[in-house]
Amino acid sequence: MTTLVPLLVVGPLLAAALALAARSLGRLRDAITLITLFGVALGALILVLSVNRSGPVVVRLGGWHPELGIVLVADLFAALVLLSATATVLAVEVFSIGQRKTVWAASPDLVGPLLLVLTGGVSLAFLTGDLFTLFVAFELILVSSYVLLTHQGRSGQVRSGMSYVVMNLFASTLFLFGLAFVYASTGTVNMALLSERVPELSSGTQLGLGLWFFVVFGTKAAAFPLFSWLPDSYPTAPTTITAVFAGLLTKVGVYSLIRFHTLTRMDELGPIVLIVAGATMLVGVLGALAQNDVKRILSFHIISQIGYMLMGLGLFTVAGVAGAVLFLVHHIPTKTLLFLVGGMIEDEYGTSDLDKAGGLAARRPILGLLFAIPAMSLAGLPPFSGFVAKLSLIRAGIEAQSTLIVIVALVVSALTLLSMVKIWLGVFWGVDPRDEPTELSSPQARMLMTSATGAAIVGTLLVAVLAGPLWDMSLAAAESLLDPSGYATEVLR
Amino acid sequence: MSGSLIFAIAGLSAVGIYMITGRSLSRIVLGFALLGHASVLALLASGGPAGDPPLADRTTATEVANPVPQALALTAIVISFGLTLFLLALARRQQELTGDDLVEDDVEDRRIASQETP
Amino acid sequence: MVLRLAAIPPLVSTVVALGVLLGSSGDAPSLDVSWVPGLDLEFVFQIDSLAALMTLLVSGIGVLVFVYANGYFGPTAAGTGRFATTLLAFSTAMLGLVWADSVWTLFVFWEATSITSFLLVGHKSVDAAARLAARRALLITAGGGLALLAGLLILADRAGTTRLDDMGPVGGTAGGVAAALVLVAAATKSAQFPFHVWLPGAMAAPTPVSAYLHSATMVKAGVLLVALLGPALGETDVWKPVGIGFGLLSAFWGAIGALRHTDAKLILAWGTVSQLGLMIVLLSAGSGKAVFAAVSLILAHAVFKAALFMVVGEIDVRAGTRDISALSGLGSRMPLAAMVAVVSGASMAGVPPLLGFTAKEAAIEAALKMDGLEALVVGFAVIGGSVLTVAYTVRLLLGLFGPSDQPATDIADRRPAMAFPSALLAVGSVLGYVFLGTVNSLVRPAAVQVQPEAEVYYLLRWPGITTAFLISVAIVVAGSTVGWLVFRRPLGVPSPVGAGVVDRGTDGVLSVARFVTGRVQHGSLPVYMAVMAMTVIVAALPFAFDVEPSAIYLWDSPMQGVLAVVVVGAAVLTSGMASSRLGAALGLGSVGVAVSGLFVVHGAPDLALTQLLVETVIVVGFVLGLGHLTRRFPSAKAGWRLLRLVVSVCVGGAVALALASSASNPSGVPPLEDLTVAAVDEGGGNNLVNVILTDVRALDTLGEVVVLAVAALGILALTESGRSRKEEVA
Repeated sequence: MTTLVPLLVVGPLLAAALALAARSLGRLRDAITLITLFGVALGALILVLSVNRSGPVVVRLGGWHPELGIVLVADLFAALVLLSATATVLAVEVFSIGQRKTVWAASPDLVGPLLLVLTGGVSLAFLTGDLFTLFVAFELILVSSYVLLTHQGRSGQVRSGMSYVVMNLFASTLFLFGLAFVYASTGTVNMALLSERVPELSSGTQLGLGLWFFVVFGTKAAAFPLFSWLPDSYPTAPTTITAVFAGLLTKVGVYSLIRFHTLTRMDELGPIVLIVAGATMLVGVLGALAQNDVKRILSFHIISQIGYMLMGLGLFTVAGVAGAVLFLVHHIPTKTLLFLVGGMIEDEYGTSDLDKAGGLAARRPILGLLFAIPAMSLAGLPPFSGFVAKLSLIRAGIEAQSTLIVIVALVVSALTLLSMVKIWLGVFWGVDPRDEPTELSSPQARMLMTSATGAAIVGTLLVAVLAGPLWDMSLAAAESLLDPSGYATEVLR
Repeated sequence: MSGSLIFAIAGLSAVGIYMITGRSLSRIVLGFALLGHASVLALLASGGPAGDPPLADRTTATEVANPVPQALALTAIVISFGLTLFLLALARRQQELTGDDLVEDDVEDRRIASQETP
Repeated sequence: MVLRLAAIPPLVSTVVALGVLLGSSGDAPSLDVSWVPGLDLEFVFQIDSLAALMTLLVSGIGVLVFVYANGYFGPTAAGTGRFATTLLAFSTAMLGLVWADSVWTLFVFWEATSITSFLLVGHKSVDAAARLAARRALLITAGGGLALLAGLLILADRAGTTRLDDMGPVGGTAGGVAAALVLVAAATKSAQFPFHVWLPGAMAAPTPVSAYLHSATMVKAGVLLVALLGPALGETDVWKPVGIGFGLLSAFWGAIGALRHTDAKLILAWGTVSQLGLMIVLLSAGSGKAVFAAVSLILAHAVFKAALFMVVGEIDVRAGTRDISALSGLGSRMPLAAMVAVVSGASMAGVPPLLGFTAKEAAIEAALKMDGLEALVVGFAVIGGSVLTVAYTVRLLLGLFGPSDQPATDIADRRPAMAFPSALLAVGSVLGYVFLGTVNSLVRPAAVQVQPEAEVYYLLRWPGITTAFLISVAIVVAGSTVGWLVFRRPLGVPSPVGAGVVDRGTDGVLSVARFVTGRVQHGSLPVYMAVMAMTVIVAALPFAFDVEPSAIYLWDSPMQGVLAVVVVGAAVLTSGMASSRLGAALGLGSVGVAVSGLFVVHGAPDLALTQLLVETVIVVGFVLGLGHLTRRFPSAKAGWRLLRLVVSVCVGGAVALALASSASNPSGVPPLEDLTVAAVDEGGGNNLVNVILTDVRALDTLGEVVVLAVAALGILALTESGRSRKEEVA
């Protein structure tokens, strides 16, 4: 295990260099990318099983004491989310090979290597036990996302990329400031030490740090009112890229929020987090309802769903945080999948505008099914994973007697359904507005895309089927998150 | 902590923020360069008072300036450098596309904002 | 073909249900699959008496509906495969619902019926009205689903169990809230006033769907819910009044609605609202006799209403319309259909010798057995509702088959697949009366399961001249008179506003969404940035409460003070000169040099060196990279510029505060001594910064290099895209 954990971070980065070197040899490049992503996902699975059986894995890089050097910590929370994320990236890469044959494709030379860098960054973000390394991980993720978003240089992409890059650069700057505050007040950037030293600070400083990092991670997570970069930028990228972004980027922010704020015992921020959570849910879902384009609707949904995860954190109870963890694990593949289906719709009509689509259920019922399952899951309908996640959060809310947020969560889930119905009515029912449907992609490409999506759906169904053990693991993860002394002991031993 | 450093950091931040809340691309790039300076200085300041350059053979543990923030700051400088250049390239591409130095509003957002009927 | 095959599964489950019902001895068959034990989520099924009775309806009528659909769609219709799949999925969901023995199992299938019914209602999706109706139905039932979710969470929490079997009575405020939520859910599903508005619209569905979902199955789910949770929630203060209230209003409003329309299918739909209201009234009242009557009504209603829907569908297909004011002479042209309709209609009106009569008789008896206000209210609902039911039945039958002065309607050939199932159901209404003993043995155990006191009751074939019978006669006479009077005359009641309200409400939500989104997501980057900056200011406020002035000193050396002033001055100058490339470069360069100076003063020569190098590249890039900078500044409003100024200064202040506060009471100090020793001993170097970068924190350095490389790739890609797309731009 002590080899596997660093390998999950360094492996994809090295493979990215290899894939880049082989960028002109298409097959070799694809093989490197696929094998690496598969390996990482497999590694994550092994990690989950191992951590679940025998506890967290702590790796001191270079053998340095945590007070000086960097540690990687794979606890249940990290391992679970990592598995969900890496398996999702793998599915997207397969899809992107299929989509390459269509007009909507991203250029493959860069996508493979950059996806690897992104994966390495995501692994690092989940596994690191060092706040500064988390910054580096964020930058790895962000820089590859900047390039993935804008590398085609289309005008919409450059315009929206500008918003995206500028807002995230601002957040990165704030992150650096935050690191300075943390180091000045505690003399360390190691998270285990922070979990001991931050609660010892005087309350104003402590609260200030909590809020400051809430802004930093909240921007990455697209929480209200810091979400504006997301809906403008995501829809402009090629499908595969949007899908990865949708599944992963904001979730790294949520992950960091949960990690940092539980580790430093920011329970006092609970009410503020809940207010932000409610506002995020509402603004996100209203935004989705206002849109008339599949990809934009789905983009706003990300924001709304972030609100649910924040709700779990804001409750600061074991049940609540466990709900947030489960929601995270469920959301990553489900959301990605919806974007892949969104891409196939775009592929079908040449646009994802609702007014320019229609009647797809009759012509391609399979696509209808591929959309319906994750859509229902997202709306929290049983028996899909979204239902279990939503139920766990609402139950936690009722237990904590936070009636208001429970009501908001219920109303928002009804509105989520309404916006999914909007897509369904616009795209799958009604009349095809085109006189003569033209095929924009080859049957072979469609086959590959459909099967990649189908496989991913099986994956999300697996989340639902395995919800029992997953919930138990989420509970265990939440318990150790809310009692960080265990984490600190484990790391500093 | 040195008040002078705090002053420099606060001043750079303020000017930087003013520039990145504007509409001109080149100013945004400049603003981020200034904010980058501010954040690196903040890291440096967080390590404690000034001291001797951290060369183990030429100083003592009491006289030395804390090397950790220096190392962090170096990493931060390089990362900011890469991103600033990237932003510059993006701004340049934007200029090519629009022939203009201004950030544009999102078309779809504006469309939705304009069709609102409360 | 697909439709015919699809009839097989419900056929099998009908046989199973009959087996359970008739051959039952000993324990009910059950199945228990764990799902998420930690959240009490499990799939628990048990085919007890009530479940078996419902299974018989769901599957038995299911088989007939599939056969009927064969005739309805004909051999050439498109999309029957999709239809059969969805209908089968619905039927499965419905079975799961009636078999459920845990609240969460119930909930899972409850929602599944909502979704499948959405798909079925919108089957003819090219029709905009069907799409709208499907959306409306889904939103109302899904809203009810959320109420149910919350209600069940509270209920399971209070009752301490999720098994319907083990649930004891729950009281208190929490119980009351749960009861209200559950009743709302039941009202949405069973189309009770004011949530009934989705049902008439749902008539846009193909008729097999209406015959199935809107008579025998889905709309009964709410009634079933009231029956199942009555034992647990019946003792709360809320249950009885709210339940009876829903039912009473629906019984009347539904019947009035039925009198108002001339579309035969709508008459039946509104009639369903009324009949379901009656069942809910009886179940909420909860006495042994009332529950017994309600269960009998569930059975009788399913049989006659399905048959009537089928007849109307047949008329629709063969005559091309189902409007009673446009039809004429069908009595002689469609004698079989007429007979089926008359028999089923008579059962609905409560005329002997039919199943409906005995059920209605039981309901009247139940009301007579109550006392006080309850007797009055329930009696009013039963008697009043029944009079109106007779009235709309008479009006419907006369309208469809009665005399008319118009020329006889042309009709298409008979479709046996449509005629046969409805005829069978009509025969069922008769046979139910003939073999009343068998019906009793189906109904009684089911009723007993809900309310043990129902044990002593049974359905009577001939009650004798009792009060209830006399009332029954009076109902039929009065109802027929009313029906005759309003025959072919639309009732002058204002047309319903309900459906429109829901649609307008939905559209309202959409426009509120556009309004809010237009405000918060206006697409302007500078505003986004300003919002972010303001958030930062708010976030830094707590720092202000813990600043220790003694922790701050003027400078490390005077030189530091001087450089700090230079840095800030140069930064302000940069901002001022930014409109010219050279000015900006000069400003930026001087800031960079001064910052490097600060590094040197602080004891960080490596940093200073790197900074100078980096700064040079950026300045060069800035000068060479960007084309001409526009001097045309957007005419920003003065207010906006002032706001930016204030925000910027505040952010500067916030950063200063945060730094000061952080330095005030540190809770830990960096381990300088350890580091120095360790770096030399283990890192093998004297330059501590280098040791940290290449050894202690080597991972950061690797990350940094990758970031730089990727940024370079991005710059390259952007430049290339600029080169290759130049023509496009021009």
